[in-house]
Amino acid sequence: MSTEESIIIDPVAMNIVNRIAPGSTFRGVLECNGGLMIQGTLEGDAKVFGGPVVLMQEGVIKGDVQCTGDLFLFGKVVVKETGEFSELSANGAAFLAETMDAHANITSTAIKTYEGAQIHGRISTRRK
Amino acid sequence: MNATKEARQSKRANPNNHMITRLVVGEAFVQSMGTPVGQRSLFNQDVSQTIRWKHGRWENSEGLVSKLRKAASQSSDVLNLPISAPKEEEAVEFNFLEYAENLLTDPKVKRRIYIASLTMASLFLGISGYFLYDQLKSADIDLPIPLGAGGPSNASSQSGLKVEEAPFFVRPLEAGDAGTNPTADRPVVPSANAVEPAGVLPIPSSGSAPAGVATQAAPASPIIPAPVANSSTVASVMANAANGPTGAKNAAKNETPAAPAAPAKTDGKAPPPTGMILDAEHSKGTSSESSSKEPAKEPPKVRSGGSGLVAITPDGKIALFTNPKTRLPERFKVGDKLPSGETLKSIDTSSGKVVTDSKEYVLE
Repeated sequence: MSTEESIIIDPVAMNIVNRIAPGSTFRGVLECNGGLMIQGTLEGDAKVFGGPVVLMQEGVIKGDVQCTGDLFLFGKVVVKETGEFSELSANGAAFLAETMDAHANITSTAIKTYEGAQIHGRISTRRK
Repeated sequence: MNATKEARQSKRANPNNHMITRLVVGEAFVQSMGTPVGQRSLFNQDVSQTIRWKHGRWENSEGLVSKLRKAASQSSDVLNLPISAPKEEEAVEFNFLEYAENLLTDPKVKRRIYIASLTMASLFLGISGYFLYDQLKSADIDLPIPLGAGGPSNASSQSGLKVEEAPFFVRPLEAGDAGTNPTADRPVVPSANAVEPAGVLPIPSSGSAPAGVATQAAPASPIIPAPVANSSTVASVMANAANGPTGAKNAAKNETPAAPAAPAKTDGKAPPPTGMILDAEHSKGTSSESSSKEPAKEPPKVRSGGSGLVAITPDGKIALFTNPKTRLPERFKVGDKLPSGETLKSIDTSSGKVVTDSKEYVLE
């Protein structure tokens, strides 16, 4: 009998020092030193060093994201302006939560999926 | 000690640094991820109601019969007949008729029936045609096919000589037969089916040959029986003719070359070899030296089975001849006209001869 899992997101403990607040939109190239929590909309590319990327349920990513930590995907990943899938790449693990809906190609060292997660794209793993 | 001093100094410089982070990022919170995808554990399931073997029998198992009964009772397709339901036979017959009507009205079924009937009909026609053809073929084989089926035009060539066969055996008339044959003194006219002997005179021209040879070999010979010949006789005649008169005489003695009966009778000696090529047996009968009893003892061989004498009734009234046109035997009485145009004069049952106005036929 499987049970639902939960995760405690503590920004301080996870070194998430960057945040796109709900209702906010960032367009362009974002380079972060530390983790990034996305509750608003990110349109463009982001490079995150030294922390995870947490896409909250109300957050939207429209572009490519590179991360040295883990990926926690609860929200939406849409295709780019060019019509191509967004590219999400992480050196850590990718957690695909049940509320996720991604039109993206996801690459990570480990994948953990939850029932209900919708992925429209390619999933690939690589060694550390 | 130095580290704690630095931390205190930084707090003094920016006392809300930690709090600012919390304000920007927010407090820790619990986020539900969902049910992880993976294989379910089988060990936690309740197996108390599953089937198991205990005390020599299966427990928690429902019998097949009981399952069927349950299914039948629960199914809505089962017709529950009342007590006063009609008999099963009537119900079955009614259903069959209805089913047959539905089948016949279905265009697909109609088409299939047509195709099947056509197939059966074609099969039947094919089989019957095969048997009919077989019967016709066997009937064709049973028909008598004479050796000289082509009649006079049929020719066989042996050793370079063209020898034509007579359609039936004709025994030349002899002197002793004059009493029985009232027309012996008359010239014999060959029938329409008979072979003209003029074309079969393979005697080479020789200066030492007697003159009578050439004269007697002329086609104007009064008696011109059917010139049936074999190759040995032909060869011997040719050799004798090449050797001259003595050879011709020897040939006359040994081989008894065919010669017309009437002219040979006039000479007391053996007749000179003629140009006629006949069978050895046949020529024996025609030779003047040979007695008249010999042909009766030894019936001549008949090569042609086409239109010869087939049978004679014991009373001597009817003779059966094969009609060369129809290849069927026909009955002839004395005085009847044969298909060859001859008139039947007499029937001799003892010797098996039938004498016509021009020829004499012997039983085949």
